[in-house]
Amino acid sequence: MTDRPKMAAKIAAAKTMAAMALAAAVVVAASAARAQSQRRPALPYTTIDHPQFLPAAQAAFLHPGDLLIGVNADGVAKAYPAAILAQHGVVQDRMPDGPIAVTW
Amino acid sequence: MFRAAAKGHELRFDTVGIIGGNEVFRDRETGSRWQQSSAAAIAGPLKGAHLTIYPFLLTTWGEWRKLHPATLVLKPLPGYAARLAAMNALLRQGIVGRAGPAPRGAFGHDDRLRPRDTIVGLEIAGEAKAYSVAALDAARVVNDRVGGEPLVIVHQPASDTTTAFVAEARGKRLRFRAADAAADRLMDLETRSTWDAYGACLAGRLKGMHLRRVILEPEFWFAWSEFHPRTELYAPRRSR
Repeated sequence: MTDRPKMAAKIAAAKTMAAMALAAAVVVAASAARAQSQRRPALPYTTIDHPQFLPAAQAAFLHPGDLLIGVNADGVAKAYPAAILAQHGVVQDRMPDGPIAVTW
Repeated sequence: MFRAAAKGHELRFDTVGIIGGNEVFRDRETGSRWQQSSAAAIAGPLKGAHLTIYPFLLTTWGEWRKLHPATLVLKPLPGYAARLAAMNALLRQGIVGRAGPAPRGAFGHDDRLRPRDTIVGLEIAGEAKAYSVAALDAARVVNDRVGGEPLVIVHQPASDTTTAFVAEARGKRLRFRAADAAADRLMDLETRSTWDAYGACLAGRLKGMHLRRVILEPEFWFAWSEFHPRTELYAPRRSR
């Protein structure tokens, strides 16, 4: 349970963002710029629109200490390995209770 | 991790850039731009709207598989699998945060923590608070009060899993202590019942109860403090 901050504060923040957006235009224009991740050639940093899943027993590429984001609802549990998420901006998926955008 | 919808639209997102070192998305349906850290639309037809965070857990494969043995796992796309080992090493190293400057474009100047220190943040009734992961790593269990709600924050160092709950049962506040070093078992002082780290009471007078979960947002300090400028902070004691 979290409440979002008051709308006024959010709009004030958005106005600040707009000012910052102007200053940050150069950064925004840099394609696939991910300040928090290493830069690598070739593989595009793009949304996964049609995620494919394996049952746990077949996820041989995962080690016990690997970080992931997990969700579960209505009997469905899904794990999104951080090492995959960090290579894509967004994974679009659907849970029984609606569409989700998985981000890292 | 958001519900991919706002104002009656289902939305599909692409990353289009960075503001303040934090990602900005654009939805394909309206072209509005969304700041990740604030979950707010900052431009476009949906400007001012907010995305709801979808409940999630940041944890390790070992821990998640214990909790959900029947879980599905996202498959890497062809070509991306080759980078997994290197990415995993980087990510696990950085989980408690690291030294180094804020990324270019970061505009926050809150030096209560280093820019790349990691925190988990929450917001209740308009009050924002961040908990330094390094501090949680040491404390394991923190009893707190934010936005008028009693809270318990639990950190299990073995998997770097942090969870948070409203610390209340049957209308009474509960205060917790870790029952072991792993913090996978807790005890409340009021009834001495035994709890797991996921809000479930396993034994004692409150057996079977579940605490109300609070969503935590794991972030770098620079991003959280930029978009929550009046945030409170639970942080390690500075050495004298």
